[in-house]
Amino acid sequence: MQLNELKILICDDSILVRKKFKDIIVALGCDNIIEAVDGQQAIDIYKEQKPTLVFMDIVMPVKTGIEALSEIISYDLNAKVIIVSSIGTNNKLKEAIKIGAYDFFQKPIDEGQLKKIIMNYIDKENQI
Amino acid sequence: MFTQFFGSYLLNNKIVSDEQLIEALEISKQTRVKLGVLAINAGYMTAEQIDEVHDIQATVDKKIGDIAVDMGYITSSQVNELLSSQKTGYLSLGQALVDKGYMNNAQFEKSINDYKNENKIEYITKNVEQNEKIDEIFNRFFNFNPSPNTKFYSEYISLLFRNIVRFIGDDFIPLKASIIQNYFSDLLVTQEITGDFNAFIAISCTEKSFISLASRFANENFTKLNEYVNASVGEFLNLQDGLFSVNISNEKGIELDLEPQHIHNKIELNNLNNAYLIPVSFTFGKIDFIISSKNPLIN
Repeated sequence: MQLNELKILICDDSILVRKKFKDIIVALGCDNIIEAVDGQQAIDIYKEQKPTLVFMDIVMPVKTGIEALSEIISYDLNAKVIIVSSIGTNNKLKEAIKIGAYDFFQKPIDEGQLKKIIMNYIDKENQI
Repeated sequence: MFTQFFGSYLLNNKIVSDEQLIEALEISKQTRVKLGVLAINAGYMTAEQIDEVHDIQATVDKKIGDIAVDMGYITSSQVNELLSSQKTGYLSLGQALVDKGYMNNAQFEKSINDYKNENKIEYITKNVEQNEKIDEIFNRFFNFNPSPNTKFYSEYISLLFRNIVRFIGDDFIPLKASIIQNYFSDLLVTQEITGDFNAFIAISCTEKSFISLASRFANENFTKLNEYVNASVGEFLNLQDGLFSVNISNEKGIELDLEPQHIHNKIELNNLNNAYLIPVSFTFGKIDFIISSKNPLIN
């Protein structure tokens, strides 16, 4: 798998966070990016577009990231959902991993971290 | 953080004005701390001796340090020690105020000594910024009424100030906090923390300060109010509340949840409960932070 083969869904209610993520990912060489502003939209878009990788916030209106994660995983057990949240308590982390999150990161994450997360994902996929 | 609270002390004791303090704070980063302020701070010389040495220097072509040594006020090894010591922020602030003429040496001497005595600090190094003294200074400064509903206010506010330094900047002075029941705001971002500890948090300020705050946090140069500006201030609050929840979970084993943030224009908050207004004066403007144990009525 290569960077330009990725289709990434960014789900965060903050337009600023989405823009920052998008700018970094595009600069990395992947321009197939979809955005969702709440958990429900993320579920709907996931079912329609089957992104390869999802970045998911937790605290959002309509449906939280944890609820969305749960619905996405029950729809597609192999979904790769990475939680990126300001509220990274141990319980939230355990809960998300138990439901089936691919990984979990505490905000804020910077450009270097985000690049590393994506590159690590690609490396892992290529090893399989 | 000591710098900001020392600044606040100067303000609250009417030694300097708000404008003078903000101006000094702005120039303090470029200010070179001179021997007089260093010697007063270390207790090696009095303000009176410094003034005397300055008067003599006006008539002879000699360094301040050499004159002070000649007069027997200080030893040359003390001079070397002071000049090679690490310069902490509050000394730069003090020097900037002295340079501007907003405070004389005697006022600096009295205020720094009084402040150290009140806060039981003997000698301030860079480490003081990180150690438990800061928590004590916080507690004395805010002095929240103890009640089950306010039990984590200190933790919340001390984290807030650390996050301000981390994400916004250190060019601010905390102003005196007050208890409020009602509050009117032109522009405000709110978030609710729920669980075994409930809190309603708000950030309020003028449009201009709001744009500046957003620009600092997002590392952008916003010029007008738009959805990115709103999202930036909202995300700052969300990050603060998220990190607070993480700390409370780690330290107290209590799980908290957050509601999504809201932006409001021209509203009145009524029936605030155990609510504190915490104004902070930044070089770009004043920001009000509000913490309440109950959701207010929003009109």
